[in-house]
Amino acid sequence: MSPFTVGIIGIIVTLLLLLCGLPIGISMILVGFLGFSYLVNIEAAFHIISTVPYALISNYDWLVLPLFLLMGTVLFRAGLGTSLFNLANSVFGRLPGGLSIAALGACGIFAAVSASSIATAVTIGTSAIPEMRRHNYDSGLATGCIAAGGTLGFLIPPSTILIIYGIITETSISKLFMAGVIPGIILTTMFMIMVYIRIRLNPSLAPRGPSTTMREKLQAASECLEVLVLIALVLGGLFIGWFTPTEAGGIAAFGSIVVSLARKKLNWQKFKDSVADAVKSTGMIFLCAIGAFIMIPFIAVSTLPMEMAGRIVDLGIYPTIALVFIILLYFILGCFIDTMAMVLLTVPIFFPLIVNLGYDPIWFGILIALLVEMAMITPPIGMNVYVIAGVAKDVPMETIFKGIFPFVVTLALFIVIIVVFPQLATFLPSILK
Amino acid sequence: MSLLCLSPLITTPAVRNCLVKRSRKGYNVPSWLKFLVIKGPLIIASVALLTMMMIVAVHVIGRALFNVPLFGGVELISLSGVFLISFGLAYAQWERVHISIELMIRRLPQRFQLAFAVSSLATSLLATALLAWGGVVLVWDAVVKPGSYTLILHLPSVPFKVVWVVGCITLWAYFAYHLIEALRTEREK
Repeated sequence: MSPFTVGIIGIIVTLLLLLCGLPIGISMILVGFLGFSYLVNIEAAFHIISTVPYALISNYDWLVLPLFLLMGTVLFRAGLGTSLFNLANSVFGRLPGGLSIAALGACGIFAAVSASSIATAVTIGTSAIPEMRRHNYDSGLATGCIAAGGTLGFLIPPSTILIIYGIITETSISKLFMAGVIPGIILTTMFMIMVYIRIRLNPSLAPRGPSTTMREKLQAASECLEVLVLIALVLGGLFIGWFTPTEAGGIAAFGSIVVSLARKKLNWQKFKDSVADAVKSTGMIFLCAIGAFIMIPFIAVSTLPMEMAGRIVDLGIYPTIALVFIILLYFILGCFIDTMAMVLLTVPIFFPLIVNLGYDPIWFGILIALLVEMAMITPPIGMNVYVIAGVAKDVPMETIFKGIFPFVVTLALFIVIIVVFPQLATFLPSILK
Repeated sequence: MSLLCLSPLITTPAVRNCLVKRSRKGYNVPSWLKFLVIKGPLIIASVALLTMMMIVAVHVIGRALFNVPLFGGVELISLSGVFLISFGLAYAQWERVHISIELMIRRLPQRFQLAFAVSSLATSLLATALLAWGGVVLVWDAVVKPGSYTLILHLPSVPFKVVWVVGCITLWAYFAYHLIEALRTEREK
C-alpha cells in the first residue's frame, strides 16, 4: 500500500472512530500511533508518543489558551456580560429591534474578552433573551441573534480556534488575532444591519425600544468601564508588542479577577467555579491537541497534503476551485463533526495545500474561524443552538434553527467577501511590528 | 495493534462480570482518600493555573515598571503548565467532558449505546496506557541521561516528567472507573 493510501485510510478510520463515540483526542492518538508504526516502524512511533505530549504540555506558547480561558470564565461567572448588554442597549436600544442589535453588539464586545463562542452566547443570552421575550420579540429572532452573535467569539480576538490554528501551523498568534479584528467588526455590523433590515421589512418581529439620554449612556458605560479598559490594554498591548500572547493571556486573567473583585461580583464560590471551568476546558482542548500532534507526523509521512497539492496542480485545477471545494468540505464536515475535531483533523492536511496554492496562511486562519462559526450554528450539531436552547427552554429547536437561517446566509455572504477581499484580514497584520 | 485488540476482550461477558463483581465488594475507602481522588487533580491543576497567572503578572509588571523581569519567568510558566495540563486532562475525564461525537450513537437503542460506550472507554484506557508508557520511557531516559536540566533555572527535569506520568495514570484510572460504571449499568439493564 502506498503511504498516500495509508493516509487516506487513516483519516477514514479516525472519522469512523469519532462516529463510534471515541473521544477525538484518543482517536487521533491511536490512529497516529498505528499509522506511523505501519509507515515507519514501531520504535519511531513509541518515540513520538513518549516525546511529543510532554513537549506540547511544557510549551510556553500553548499556555496562552488556559490563561485566556480563565479570563473568559471569570468574567462569565462574575456576570459582567449584563453590564455590556446594558451599555449596548443604551446605544442601540431605540432602533427598531434595538434589543437584538444591542445583544449582537454586546456579543461582539464580550467576544473580545472571551476565547469561547459558547461562553459568549450564554453570557449575553442569559441577560438578553429574557429581556427580548419580555418586549415581545419574535422567539426565532431573539434566540437566533444570540446563537449567531456567540460565534463572534471565534473570530474576534482572543479566539481559541485562532490560537490552535496558529500553533498547529506555526503562524504568529499575534498576527492572527490582529487579522480577526476587521472581519470581526464587519461581521458584527453585517449581523446588525441584517436584523435592522428584517425588522424594517417586517415590524411585527420586534418593537422599537425607548431612547436613552446621554447621562444614561454614560452611566451604562461606567458600569463596564474596567472591562473596556482591560480589552484595550490586553489587545492593545499585544498588537503594540508589549506582551507575548501568553503574557497577554496572563494579564487578561489577572485583570479580570481584579475587575470582578473591585465590582464585588466575584465571591469564593464563583471564583472556584470559574477556575474549575477553565481547568476543565484546558483538559478538554489539550487531549485533542496531544492527539493532533501525534497524528501530524503520520499525516506528514503519508505525504497526503503534498500528494493532494501535486494532484491538483497536475489536473490543472484553478486554485479558486480547490478553495471552493475545501470550503464546501468544511461546511459539510461542520454539520456532523465537532468544530475542534474539524480544525485539528483537517488543518494539518489542508494548510500545506493552501500554502502551495499561494494563499496567505493568516487569511486562511480567518477563513477557518468563519467556517467554524458557520459549523456552530448549522444543523444538526450546531452547538450554539443547543446552548441557546438550554437558556430559552420554552423555545423549540426548530424555531431557533429558523431564526438562525438569515444569520447563516449573512455569514455565507461574508465568507464570499473575505475570499474576494483577503485584504480585510491581511491588512492589519501587515502593519504589525 | 495488540493493545487495540484487547479492547473487545474487556467487553466480553466473563471479563465484564469479573470487573463488576470486584467493584461491588464495597471496600471501606477513607473519606480523605475519596476527597483526594475526586478533588486532587482539580486542586493541583487550579493551583498551577493561578500560579502561572501570578508568575505572568509579576514577570510583566516587573519588566514594564522596574525593567526587571522575573528571572526564569518563562520557564516557570512552562513548568506550571505541566502540572495544569497533566491533571487538567484527568479532571476533564472525571467530569466526562472530553470531546466526542454522539450524534450517531444517540440514535441507537440503549443496549447498543452502552456497548459503544464500553468499547469507547476500553479503547481510551488502552490509548492512555500508551501515553503513560511513553511518559515512563521519557522519565527513564531523563534519569539515565546525565545533565537533564531546564535551560535557565537548571532545575532537574525528571520530577516534571514524573508529574506527566502521574497525570496519565490518573487519567487512565478515571477511564477505568467510568468503564466499570458503564459495565455495571449494562449488567443492571
